[in-house]
Parts: sequence; structure tokens; C-alpha cells
Amino acid sequence: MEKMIFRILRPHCRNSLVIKRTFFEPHRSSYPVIYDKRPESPKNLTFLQQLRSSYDLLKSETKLLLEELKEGFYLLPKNFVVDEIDTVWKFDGTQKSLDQWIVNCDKDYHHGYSTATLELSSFGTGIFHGILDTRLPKDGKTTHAGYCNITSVQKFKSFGRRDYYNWVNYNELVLRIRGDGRCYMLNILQKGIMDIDQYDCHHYVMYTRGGPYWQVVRIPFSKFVFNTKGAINENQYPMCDAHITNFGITLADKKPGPFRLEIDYIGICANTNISEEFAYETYDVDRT
Amino acid sequence: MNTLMRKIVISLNKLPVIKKHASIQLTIVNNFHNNDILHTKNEPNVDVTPHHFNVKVKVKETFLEIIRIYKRNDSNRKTQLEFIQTALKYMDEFGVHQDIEAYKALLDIFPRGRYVPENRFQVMVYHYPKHQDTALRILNKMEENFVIPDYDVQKMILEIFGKNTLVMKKCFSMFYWLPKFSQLNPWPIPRPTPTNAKVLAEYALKKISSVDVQANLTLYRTKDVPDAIDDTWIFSSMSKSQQELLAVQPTDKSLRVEGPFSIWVADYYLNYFVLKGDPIKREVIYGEYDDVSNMKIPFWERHNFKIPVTIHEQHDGVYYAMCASGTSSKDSLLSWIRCLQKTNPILEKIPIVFKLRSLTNEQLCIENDARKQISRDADADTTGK
Repeated sequence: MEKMIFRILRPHCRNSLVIKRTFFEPHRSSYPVIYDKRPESPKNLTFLQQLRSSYDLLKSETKLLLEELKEGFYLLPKNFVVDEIDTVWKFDGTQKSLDQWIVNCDKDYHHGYSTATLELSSFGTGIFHGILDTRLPKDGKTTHAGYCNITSVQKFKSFGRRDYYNWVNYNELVLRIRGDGRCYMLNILQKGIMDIDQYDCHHYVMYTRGGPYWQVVRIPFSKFVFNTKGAINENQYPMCDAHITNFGITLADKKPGPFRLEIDYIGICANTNISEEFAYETYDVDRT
Repeated sequence: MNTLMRKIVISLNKLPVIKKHASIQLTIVNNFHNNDILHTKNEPNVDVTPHHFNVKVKVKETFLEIIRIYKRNDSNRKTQLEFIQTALKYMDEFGVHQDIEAYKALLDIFPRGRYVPENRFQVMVYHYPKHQDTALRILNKMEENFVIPDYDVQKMILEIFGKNTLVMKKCFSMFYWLPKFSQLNPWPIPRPTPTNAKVLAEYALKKISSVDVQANLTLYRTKDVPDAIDDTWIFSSMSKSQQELLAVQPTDKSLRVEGPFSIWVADYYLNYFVLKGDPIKREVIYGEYDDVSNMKIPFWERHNFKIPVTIHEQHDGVYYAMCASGTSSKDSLLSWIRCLQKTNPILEKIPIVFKLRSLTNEQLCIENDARKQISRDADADTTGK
């Protein structure tokens, strides 16, 4: 009992210099939402147009539902091949592949001056480029600035149900990229519904070679470090492969200037050479 | 003064007239910003440099001397927290932000044994919170600048704050995590980073050409080339496989010198140029499969590809050579081709086209001097909306 009281009253919980967790977390849905292109509001449409659009939505969602039902009737589970790359996101020159990504940088939230865009090149690959800027906005409270980020959109099943990426059978992340010599950060997000786990994320760094040659980056899932709110968590947990909501690439390496990252595909692979579960110690630091 | 101004702005913003019209609010706030009344916490403002740090020569020796003088003058350590926080601000200016000795000197200001908690209740209520926070700020700054603490730092913290404190915990977590990430870069660059453009260009080309193990990095001087105007160095990278590719190149098709492309080496942004050709069209010949009169046995047959298949053949073209020159001018590129002609005589026959983009791009330079200008433009943009 005495031990428990001391554990609760320890100053660790309330020091923002060490832990970025606070007692009250505003929910992410209360953040300002920034659109590249605003969705059409149904108020501007006439009654017939509304009917038409809802009919189209119903049709496409029902198609999806039927496909999902069909998958359930297969006798064999959906197979994967060992040591072969399964692409999850691929830039193939279509607008649909571009719509899978959300681009944001600190200028959108008035936290800085960086700009970033994601475009398709003439060969159909995606180019994530822009200018990183570490100048601080003069609001008196911002202490660090300068990040550019792309994140994949949430995966949905039919009729808008939340879905997760299930990467249980895989143990490696594969990217085919062409960078500019900078260091990027890969984020695998496992956003939960509760306010405690909505910032849960696994990070790892990706060094790009630069130059005109394509580069295949292979990173095992075991190497990813568990972070909360961008700071390394003191207690480490291996990645929950079955519950992945988003994937993202961030640039925040404190070097102001232009950047350019060309992405062909992002995939996963079941590599038989990797047997490691988790590369870091998982003991409980707070236990006394 | 600052806080007063901020309070005025906040109270003005709450006025119903201003609240309704966003443009009025923005113009008021922008006016304050442009006159530099509100300045950021971390960025040193030249006008209000504290007397400690108001020196002409800003090097490591002066920084350590300032700390020494402070320690001598303020023997009671009455203003130590303020002094350390201002010192942390000015570290970048003195160029000591990657130097562990400066951080050690800052930590050394704290008196030994004074802030060590003696019982568990003192540990519980965060003994000397401001002092611990300041020490944590020093460690955070070290973490930002990738400085790994050593045994002396640990010993110092143990003597100042004791072992059951947040500072010690932070120090231990840095001991654990920072060495894990410090050696990850597959193309390492020594620290402190070299500032010479020639050395950096060598690192850059080594980095790019690491794709081919046979890559051959050579240094040319434009002096050796006849009729060269510039007098600079050229680093050129060309492997044996690239030379073989170039040797079978048809002489009627032209090659292109393209650039400048950019690459980052440590904190610097360099330009490089490539010698590039059109992608090779490989024809796949399907024979008549039913015809067995002239069957080939593949065991004794050697693959007779006219053009060897290499990594240099990318989907957007074939890269024959790469270079970085001191001036990045058209003339230096011309002398680069002249230099390449010695080893590759076929280049004398092949026509070469120079496709160069203009080097000046106004958006590319972000400098501290131009800060005001850019922020003003940004403000104008926001008001325009």
C-alpha cells in the first residue's frame, strides 16, 4: 500500500520535460481539420442530386460488401508467399493512389513555415517534396518547428466501418525509394480509441542514399521503437501487427532547405532470415 | 514590457468588434510581430543580449570564460538558473552546441550535495523542482544536438542531485538510447562536419556511387584541360561497368549532361551533374517454338548480351557518369567531358547536349537575414485571405 502511494505521487507524471503525457488529453477529433479539397456539403445540392449521390454511395458500398462476403466463403485462407514483397501502397500514376495519402506540415497548423506537396511524376511515381523551414513563428510558446509529413488515410470496410491492416504474417517493411541524402522517419501508427493510446506509434529512421539510383529499403518490424507523442517511451512494447491504422513518412531532421523523396511502392514481406521478435529490452522501468 | 504587450494583445482580441472581423485582429497582431515586440523565447534577439554574453569573439574559449567569470562573481549562486537558461539560448551562437565540455561546464555551476534528497518524502515532492527542471533542460538540449553524455556527466549529476531523481533517470535513458541511434547512418561523416566544399563533394559522390562497388572516384583539375576558363576541381565517378556500357553506345544518338540535381551531405546542400542517355530498348525475340529443327542447347551457350545489364540502367535513362565541380558552371562541365574523353575515346564521336537548369531559385535560400522579409511576406499572405 505504502509503495503504491509513493508510486502514484512520484513526480514523473507531471514533468513535461521528461514525459509528454498529461492527465487530460484533448481528443484528436477536436483538432482543427485541414482539407486540401473540401468535401461537398449536401446542402448545396438539390433533392434529386442528393438522391443520386446517395444511390451511388449505396451501390459502391454494396459492391464492397459483396466482395467481403465472397472472401469469407473461400475454403483456403488468403495465402501469402514467403520472401516475396506484397505491395500495400503503390504509386501507379492514378489519382486514386494519390488520394490514399494526407500531406501535412507545420504551416497548416500555424506552427511554422514549412511547405510540402505530394505529386505524381511523369513516370507515375509519387514525389514528396517541399521546403523544410526551422524558423519559429513568433507566438511566444513554440520552441521547435519544422516538419513535413505524409500519412496514409484510414482503412475502411464497406459502409464506413473501421478496418485495420493485418500484418501478423509479415516481419519486414520494404520501400522502394529515391531520396536526396536526408534522413526520414517511418511511422507505423496504431491509434486506439481511448485517449491514452491515441498517440501510440512505432518509429524508425530511414537513411536515403541520394542520387539518381533507386534504392530498396528493408526494415524489420522488430527494429521499430515505441514512441508516444514523438518521444521514446521508457517502457517498450513490440508492435501490434494486427491493429495497424496508418503508415507515415516524416521529415524533421532540423536542416532547413528543400527536400525531395520519390516513392515507388511501400510493401511488406515475410523474410525467413529474420527471427528477431523485438530488438529492445521490454522490462518495466517504473517497477520498484 | 513583453508580457504587458502580450496582455494588451490578448485583451484586444477578446473585444467583440475585433473578434468578429478576423482581418482587424490579424493586422494588429502582424503589426506587433513586424515591429519585433513579441520575440520568441529561444531565438536570441540582438538588441537584448544580456551583458554576460555580449562579447565580440564568439568561440568556445569565451563561452567557458564567461561561465568561469560568472562562477567567480556569483559565489552564492543566486541567479544560476537564469544564467544557465540564457547560456543554453546562446550556445548555438557560440558554436558549442555539439561540444560536451560546454555542457559539463554548465552543469558544473550547480553546487554539489545541496539538492540531494535525504528521505523518500523529499523524493516524492520533487526536491528543488526548478533546479531539476533546469538540469533537465541542459540534458534535453544535449539530446537535440545528438551529444551523448559520458561518465563524468553521470558522476556530476549523482553528486548534485542524487540518484533517485528525474535528472538521473533522464541521463540513464540517454545512455541507453543515444548510442543505439548514433551509428545508424550507412554513409557516415566525421564530426565536426568538414566545411570545405571539395571534401563534401567527395563524400557526396562516394555516397551516390556506393550503389556500384566498382565505382571509381577521380579528381580532375581544369588546369590540365586546354581552353578552360575556370580553374576548379571536378570530382568524377565512373565505374568499369559504366565504361563498358558507354563503349557499345551507338554514335548517332546523343547523350545528355543534366543537372544540377541536389544531394544533402550532413548539413550541406550540394549540386551534382550526370551524363545520361536514353533508356536501352532490349528486344525480346521469341522464336518459333514448334520448330525443333535447329534446337539450341543452353548448357554450352554463353549469354551474348550486346549490352551488359547493370544497375546503371534505370527506368528513366542510363547513367554513364556523375560529377560535382567547384563552380557548377557550364565551362567546368565541358572540361569534365574533355577529361572523360581520355579514358573513353568514344565520347569524341558521340554528340553531347547540355540540358542545364538555371541555378538561381529564390525559394531555395532560407537565411537568418532574410527572416524578416519572409515573415512579412507570409503575413501579407494571411491578410490577403
